[in-house]
Amino acid sequence: MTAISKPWDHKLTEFVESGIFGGPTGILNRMNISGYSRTGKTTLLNRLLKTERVTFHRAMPLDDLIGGLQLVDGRTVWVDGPAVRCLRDGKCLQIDEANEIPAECQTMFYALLDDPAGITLPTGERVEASPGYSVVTTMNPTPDCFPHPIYDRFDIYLTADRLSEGTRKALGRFANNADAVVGYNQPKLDWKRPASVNAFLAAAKMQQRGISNEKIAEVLGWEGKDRTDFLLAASAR
Amino acid sequence: MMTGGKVNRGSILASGVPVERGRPVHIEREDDWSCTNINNRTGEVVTIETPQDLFRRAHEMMHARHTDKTVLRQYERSGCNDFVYQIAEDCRLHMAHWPWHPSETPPEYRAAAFEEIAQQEKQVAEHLAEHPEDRGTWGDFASRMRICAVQHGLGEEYSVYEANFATRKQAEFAASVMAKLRRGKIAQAACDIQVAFFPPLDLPPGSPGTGSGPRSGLKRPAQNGALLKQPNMDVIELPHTVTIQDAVVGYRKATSGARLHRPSLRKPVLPQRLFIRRSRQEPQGTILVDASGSMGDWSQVKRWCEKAPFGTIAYYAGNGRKGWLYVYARNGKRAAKIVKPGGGGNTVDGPAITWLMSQAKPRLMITDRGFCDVADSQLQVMRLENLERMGEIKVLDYAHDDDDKE
Repeated sequence: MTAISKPWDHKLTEFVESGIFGGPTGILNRMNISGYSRTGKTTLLNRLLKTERVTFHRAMPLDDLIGGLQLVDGRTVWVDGPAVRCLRDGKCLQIDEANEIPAECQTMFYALLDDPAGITLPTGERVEASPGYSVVTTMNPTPDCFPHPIYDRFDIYLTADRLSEGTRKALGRFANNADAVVGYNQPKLDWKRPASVNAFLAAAKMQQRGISNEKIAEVLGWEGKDRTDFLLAASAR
Repeated sequence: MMTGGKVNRGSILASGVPVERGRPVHIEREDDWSCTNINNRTGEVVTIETPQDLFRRAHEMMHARHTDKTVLRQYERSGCNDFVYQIAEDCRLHMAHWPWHPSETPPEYRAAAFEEIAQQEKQVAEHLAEHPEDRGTWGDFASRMRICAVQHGLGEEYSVYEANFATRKQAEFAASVMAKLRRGKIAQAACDIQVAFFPPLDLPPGSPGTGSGPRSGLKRPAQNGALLKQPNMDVIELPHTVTIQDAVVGYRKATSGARLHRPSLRKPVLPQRLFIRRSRQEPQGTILVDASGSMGDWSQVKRWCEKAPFGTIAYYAGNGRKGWLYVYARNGKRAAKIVKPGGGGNTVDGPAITWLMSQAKPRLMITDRGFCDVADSQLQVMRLENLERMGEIKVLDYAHDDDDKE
């Protein structure tokens, strides 16, 4: 009895709409979506979660992420960057090309992915995450490209291996043609989520909210043998 | 064993093993092999090798979680062999430690378990079709008991009588062993199985339970019964002063021959054994008579004496606390009179069987199999049944004995 895997975009929509991910009452708040380019990751996320977007690149300064001191009306004042705005306002921070973590931002990135998240600004102010704060990262390579502290900080991993519903709609009658070339000339997405501390932390959070082990396995991305192994490992006796 | 498998790093299954049981390496196998390697000294799980089959994965997980040092020690204490350990432990795990409460087994695992049961039943049936003589033997018994245990673990209403054991006694024995395993009396259960199915065939002289020393009343080690204190059995060699007539003459009555037995001709009804034949003085084995109250008539003992003049003939009985085994005849001589035991109960069936096993072959036991009085009576019935099946002891049902035996 093997459950047929749902498309990644259906899962994402379901997790958001059912309150498992994001929002002030969401159970989980850190998600990574990796997969082929042009599948509709960014657009769907933005539509569903009204995200604040940042795109990582190797030379990105920290100011672009958390903000910095700027000259306003002849005075230096602190101006929040996208990450701090999300923390303060309880919004979703979307980081594209997350595999390109700038050296300057790496440790701050850990803090943004903490649970509960919070950072101390150069001004000395401590900013804690408000309810509703969440982080979603998107990228093309599989998550094993992350350094371990980041690798084990995400609650949910989705693999965008096909076109999202929205992208197919946008493609109209060319949807099938585009579908046929998804992933063309791109590395294979053959990554499976291993057992990790954060996976079980996420499982515990979901269990506390009355979610069944079957659903937990689905949210954690464990299908087939991984799913049944999880049911066994999580069994009470 | 690390051959033929692939190490599953970050194994979800292995994460289900409690940390105090170690951090096992999980090896995924493509074949049917499955095992859990446990360090006997520390009790830590070293490796879990699993095939892809869900039922076996769950089974190995149970071993990894619950076959610990204490459990291993109990099996060690029971002195059981590997076959007994495997089956007893499998049954114990399925009955007491199936990973889910009966109603909560996920459908995939439930289906896999029933598939495994069906497969086992099919294998047993196929084997018995080819080898009907194996019905009721260890393999047959073990498979059926295991099926019962798996069914119980799944919360199914499954009686041992549905498992189609070879005899009703076997079904009852399986039920008693399973009850012991469920209550955690592991050593006792393992020991019972060991005694019933793997009886020692060559007991060294002076072994516990042979009656040759005071040790028959001690807690028995595995070779001689369950870990229960058994009643003492005194082995009493009666003074063998009377020469058995047939033994001296060297002739015996026979149903055919060249010389007539003239005294028999005087009988109003001619007996079957009308002739006499020269008989060689060859060992005639041992006859043990169950002389408990249920067995009735004492004159039978004399009768058996005539039938095997050179054999060893003994009878036994007990009074619920202790028992006596009287060696009535040996090497062509018998006691002048029969000494009645001090009780009419069975009591010492186990030590008496052990004594019989230490005597010369062929061995005949005359009994109604109505063993009672002590906790392990049922076990001794099973033990006798299996010794009979193995050809070590021939059992003559007292109620149906006839003249042409031995």
